[in-house]
Amino acid sequence: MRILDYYQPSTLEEALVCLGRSSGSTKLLAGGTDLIIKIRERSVEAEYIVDLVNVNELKGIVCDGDKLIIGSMVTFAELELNPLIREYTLILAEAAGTVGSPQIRNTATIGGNIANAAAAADSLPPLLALEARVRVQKAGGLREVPIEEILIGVNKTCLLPEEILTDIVIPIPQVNTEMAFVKLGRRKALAIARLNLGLAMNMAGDGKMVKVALALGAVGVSAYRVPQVEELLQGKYLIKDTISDACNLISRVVADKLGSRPTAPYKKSIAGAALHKALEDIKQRQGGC
Amino acid sequence: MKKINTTVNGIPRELMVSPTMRLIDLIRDVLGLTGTKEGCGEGECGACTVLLDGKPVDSCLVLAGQVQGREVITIEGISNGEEMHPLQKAFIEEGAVQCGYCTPGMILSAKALLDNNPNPSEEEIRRGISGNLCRCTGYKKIVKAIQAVSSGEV
Repeated sequence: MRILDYYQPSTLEEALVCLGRSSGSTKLLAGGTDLIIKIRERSVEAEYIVDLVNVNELKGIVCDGDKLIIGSMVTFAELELNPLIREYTLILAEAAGTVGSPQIRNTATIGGNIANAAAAADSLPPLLALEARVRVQKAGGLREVPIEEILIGVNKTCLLPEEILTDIVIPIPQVNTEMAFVKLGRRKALAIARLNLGLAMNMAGDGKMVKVALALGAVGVSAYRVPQVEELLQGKYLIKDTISDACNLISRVVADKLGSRPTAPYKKSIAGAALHKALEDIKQRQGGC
Repeated sequence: MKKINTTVNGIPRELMVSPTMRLIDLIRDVLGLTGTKEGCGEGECGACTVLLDGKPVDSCLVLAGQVQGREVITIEGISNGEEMHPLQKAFIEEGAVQCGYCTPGMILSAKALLDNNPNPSEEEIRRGISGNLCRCTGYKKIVKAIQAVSSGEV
């Protein structure tokens, strides 16, 4: 590594100053589980590293009115066990628990997962389904952006070099929201998802699906919402025909998305299977209505 | 080069090293603690597991700068003088060591698990060591060794 300097600021303000010195050749270090590998294999060049480990403003999970605010330096181990996350957004805790291994979860952070923007990042489908937004700070300005606008390609985000992703903001789901997370990998631990799926839906008292948010990851360059399937489900009940229509539709959407890629036939069929599992899980929890 | 203050196996250290050196290189090459093994170098195998503030991490994915002010425990740091840690004894007694390469990392993952949860279920044990690959034992004897410690047999 040809790193010229390594900074360890203790406040966000200091971090922004360090970053501002030469933002183009500076990399922010969150947990390091992706960045350290990339620097070693020289797929990422950095002259300066700003290590965010001591920036307390980026840590912690709080409830602020009708929102959950998650600091970008919160690790997956923290996310998995946090009582607020488990109470309001269980799919995010479940997704966190499937990331890597205990060792990875103790280091890797949610902010790093978003900023690294891997196609298979496990936090992204749940965050999309929960309609999360991210707060991004630069010297002299803060902006809040829906998570889908951040993701613009494989390992690409619209974050500017001088910006730091500070928080993830999740609107607390209404009561009667059902959720499911499905991850398909080649094995349980340390699996890079072949497909991951996040689903959150608000249901009326009689079991009708009122508002549905569905997101897929590891199918295409970045995780995305699937509005076609959301629309199909909205206003309907979770009955066998609706479930099978939705699964057929998601397979077609995935097939169109992947075109002639070699993985298309496989992903098309597992997308249908994953959605089937998610919808059946919710149906069962609802008491089979 | 930067000055890094860290505690390794209970001993406070002041080290002049590059902060972008990996923790595994600091442990093995600077401190000479070669019990920590490097396998894949990318966080897949867990051979390089050490405890950082009591939690298992892959030392190939941590930079020296990140351990500033924190406490590192390696396999050399868990025995009580000449007396082996119960996990070390149990691994030997149960035959949970074959080639031995995964053992230091495996034992540290097991230690972190038991420190947090002294009576884990078999499933919790398997999840606790899921970041450590062993290509010899098939894991059964490793799980038995950890169970032997949690049940107080060793």
